[in-house]
Amino acid sequence: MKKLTVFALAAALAAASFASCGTYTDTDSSSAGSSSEASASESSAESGEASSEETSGSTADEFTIIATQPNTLNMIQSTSNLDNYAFYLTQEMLFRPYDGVYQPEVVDTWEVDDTNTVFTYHLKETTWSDGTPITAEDFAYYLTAQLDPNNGSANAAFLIDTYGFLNAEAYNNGECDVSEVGIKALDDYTLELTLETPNADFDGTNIKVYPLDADFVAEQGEALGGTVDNYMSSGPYVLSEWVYDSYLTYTKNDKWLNSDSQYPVETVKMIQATDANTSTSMFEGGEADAILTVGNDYLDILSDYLVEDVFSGTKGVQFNTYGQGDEAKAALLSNKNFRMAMSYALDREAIVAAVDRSGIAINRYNYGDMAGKEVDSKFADDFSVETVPMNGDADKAKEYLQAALDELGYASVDELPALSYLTFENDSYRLMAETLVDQWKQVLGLTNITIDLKPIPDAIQSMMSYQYDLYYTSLSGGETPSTFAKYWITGGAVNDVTGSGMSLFSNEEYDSLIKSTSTEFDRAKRMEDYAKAEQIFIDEGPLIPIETGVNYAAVADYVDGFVYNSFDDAIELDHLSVNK
Amino acid sequence: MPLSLHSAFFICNKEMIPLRKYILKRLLISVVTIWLIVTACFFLLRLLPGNPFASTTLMTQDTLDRMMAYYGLDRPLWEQYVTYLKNLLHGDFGYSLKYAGRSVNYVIATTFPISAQLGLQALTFGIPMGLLLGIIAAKRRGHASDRAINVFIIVCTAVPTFIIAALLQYLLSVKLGLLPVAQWKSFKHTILPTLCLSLGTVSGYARSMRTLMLEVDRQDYLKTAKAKGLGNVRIVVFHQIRNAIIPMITGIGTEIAGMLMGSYVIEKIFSIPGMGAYFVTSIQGLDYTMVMGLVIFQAVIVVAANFIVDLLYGVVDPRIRVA
Repeated sequence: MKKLTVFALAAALAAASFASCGTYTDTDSSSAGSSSEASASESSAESGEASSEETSGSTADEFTIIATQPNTLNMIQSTSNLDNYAFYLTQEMLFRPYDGVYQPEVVDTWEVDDTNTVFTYHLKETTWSDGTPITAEDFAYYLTAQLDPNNGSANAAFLIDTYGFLNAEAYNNGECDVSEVGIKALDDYTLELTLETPNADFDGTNIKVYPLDADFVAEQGEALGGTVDNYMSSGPYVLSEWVYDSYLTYTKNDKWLNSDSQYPVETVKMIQATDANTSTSMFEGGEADAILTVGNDYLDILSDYLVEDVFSGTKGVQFNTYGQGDEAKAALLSNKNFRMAMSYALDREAIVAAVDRSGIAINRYNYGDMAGKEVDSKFADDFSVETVPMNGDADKAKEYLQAALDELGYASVDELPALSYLTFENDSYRLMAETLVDQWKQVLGLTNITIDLKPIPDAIQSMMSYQYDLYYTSLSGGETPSTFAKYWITGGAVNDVTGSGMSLFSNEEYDSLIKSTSTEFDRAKRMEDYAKAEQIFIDEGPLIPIETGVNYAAVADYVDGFVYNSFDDAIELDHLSVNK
Repeated sequence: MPLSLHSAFFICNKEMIPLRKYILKRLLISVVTIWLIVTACFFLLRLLPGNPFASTTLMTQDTLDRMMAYYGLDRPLWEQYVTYLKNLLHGDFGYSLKYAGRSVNYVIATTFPISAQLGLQALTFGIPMGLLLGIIAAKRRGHASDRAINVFIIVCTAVPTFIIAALLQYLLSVKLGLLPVAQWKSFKHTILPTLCLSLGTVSGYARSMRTLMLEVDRQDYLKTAKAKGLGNVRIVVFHQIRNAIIPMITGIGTEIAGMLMGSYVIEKIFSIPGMGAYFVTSIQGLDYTMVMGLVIFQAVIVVAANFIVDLLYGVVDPRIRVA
């Protein structure tokens, strides 16, 4: 009996675990068959060297990438860049950004009137993936639907602030009819966009506009964009499968305008990223050709395959100059010398190296690949600013602090009011908070700062109700300096987050410079104004810049033409080839 | 002869009315229980600070107000509650607030079968394996096999699942190429996650079964059985195991319900499109409708599982039958 039981146990274990295990090859995936270590060796053993040489160099029909799935394909409600990856692959665009340049796609020709406020686009004939014609009305509806107050779209503010379409704000406030908005289809193939005032940062091409069928939207109701059946494709690929939290399959759309010359890969499979270790194992095991975001701990392992993408956003510490109603705190947080002391006390490079491997230390706001005087020059190269050194300056920090104490009448730092540092309750934000607070303590002797960790929704609500003294913010940037600069004008979206008239920072010269950029069509002069404004912002220091994010993708060496995020929110596979 | 569920009902046939009453009473209690859960969950969720649209993306107050109005979250709480109950009576859990266009019903319909399959596979493997190991350990108390099983139990309990999963992925998938690393496509894709998910069950049941078997071993009725001259197999199977297993049935209902609802860690590690992740992300993101739908669904499963387990008591132990 004992022997029998032991045998049964062993047999059951073996049977349950390994009975059906052979060498694994995923016949469902074109990538795995030839790149899994075990299957590759088996294949070469069977067919010899010649066949393996024949295989390498051929173009595979499928590209498999591990990425995070979209939140929604509802183009009105979508707010995530993850959704934009899908839209970019599956929708026509007036102008398609590729490798840093907006290229006309559906637009055949376009003209701008003398006032620089009316843009007229003449469109090519094109269709949805089912063959139904796409008209100018579909492109207009994509924009007006986001402005419609009944749709509650979070994108309305962006469209209003960035482009300033005629009556867009009034329509969004329910004060006028959609017919009065400066977004009109003049006929089936002519679209007209009218701005309230000239906007030098908008040249008529740098806007992402997809088609959206109003009838389809009405028919779908709340289900819009939830599944493949509730979504219409028109672009390079058709979304043919979407298994939540597992994968999406994009199949080449032969009806797309440029299908003969672009997007050579027949099928793009996007596998849902879940765990960094799993993603790395799948990539190493040949089950995927690329990983869109490599986990920090795996950068060394995948160092030979990395593609870097620097974000245009800024992470840093902002000061609540209202001090939560406490006069002493408000005076301290509004004090320029105190803010400078806080900024100079930080060794940004050391902090970022220690805390966030996917970050890059910054000491200004316009950096990286942001274009400068010319489209192909860099802003940071064209305009230098006087700012805090990357490694900080402890002596100068102490000087600034002493100046602040003298101005505010404090004998020592021990008399300073207690300050709370609000941040998100997760490991990376907590670690950053602890590191910053520690450096302020080490360099300046500040012991009055306590960390207030809250879950994200709670923290955001506290920030929006000014219940913090210091807040670690993360602000997305844009393609030009205007996005960040406009956040901080008096009444700007970040500066006065509730729109209640409580701006954290106000400077007339700054406001005036930013206002003048809208009508300055000389690019070099406009950029110069942004640089002047940036210097004012640095000198005033309402936000201490700490770091910007970097995303590292991993791409197999047999993949060519992988372009990621030349402008935010797109995996640009226009000329991708998989040469296995 | 072991009793089946059918025979248990058959035996109760004379008192079918009390059994029917019992079932009706339990059903009524179940409905009330679920209503209480719905109500408590609905109001407790709204007490949490923040709102579903607060995220790392900055949003102005105007935009936030418009979104709250669009989803009806600006209405009085009681009105929202009544609307929710009305929809619930029609079986409509509503749409996710975080994933526009994704209905909670659809999410449950597509993810539950996967989580359930994974859970059932893990239980099907884990419970018998755990019981078997517990029995062997008890019967071989103090021997090498007992010590080996105890070490196995300690390892399974002490080492987190995600570490075991990562090691197995690396060894069996990356190095040996025997099994796929992740995803949920074929039976082969289910082997590693099933094995990892079942380890907790195996160790838990093995530990409990060993203890219970040793306890039963000291009971008088076992001595009587031996004195009657019954065979060793018969004593172990029909007297020792059967009596040892009764206390374990108490937890099986909840265990099954829990396993059917998915595992966040295992599903995340193996890229399995199950329900587990939704439980975590929906609460973190204050996705009210998703949380409500999942909680109600789980409540129904737990209540149903416990109900079935209560009936099963009668099958295993005639003394506990209703009639």
